[in-house]
Amino acid sequence: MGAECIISGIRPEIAQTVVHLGIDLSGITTKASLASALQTAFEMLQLAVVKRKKIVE
Amino acid sequence: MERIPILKMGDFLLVTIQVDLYDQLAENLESDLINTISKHSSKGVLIDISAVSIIDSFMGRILGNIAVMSRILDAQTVVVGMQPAVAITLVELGLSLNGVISALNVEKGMDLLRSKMQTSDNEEPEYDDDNE
Repeated sequence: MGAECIISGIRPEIAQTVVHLGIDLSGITTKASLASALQTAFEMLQLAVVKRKKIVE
Repeated sequence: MERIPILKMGDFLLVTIQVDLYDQLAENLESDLINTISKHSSKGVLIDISAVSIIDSFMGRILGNIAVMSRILDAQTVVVGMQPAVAITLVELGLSLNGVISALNVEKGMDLLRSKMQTSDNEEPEYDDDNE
């Protein structure tokens, strides 16, 4: 439906199980942490979080 | 119990296999490595197999598994120093080792990992400072 999916925070045991079950996750973006997944999502949407500059009077 | 050391080098993990691998050792290495990647959130794994002279289908599969598992945990795997006989054996066994990147030696492997890191860094958007 035109949405991208990113999986994050997969535990090492789960990664092992996924591979042993023969599940192919090569088409899905997987990231180590929620932070890096969010960063990737922002990059996909070409968004950036920047610190607002203080207004000098 | 005998274990293969996993060394942490910044964002990368370095594994040098200096002994001939038997099945249990390989399985332990697989789980140790995956746990270490998760623990340090490593970005790359360098496996030096220059001292491995014999490889069987099981070992080939383990190498492939390590690469796929690392990929799931967001780390690249580079296998370095593969002996010609090992490369011949792997092809004859029909193991294409998809997802495993190879390099001739540790130095080139490190360069490869670093360049991979840089290309992923470059994907980050450049901020235009229009406000100034």
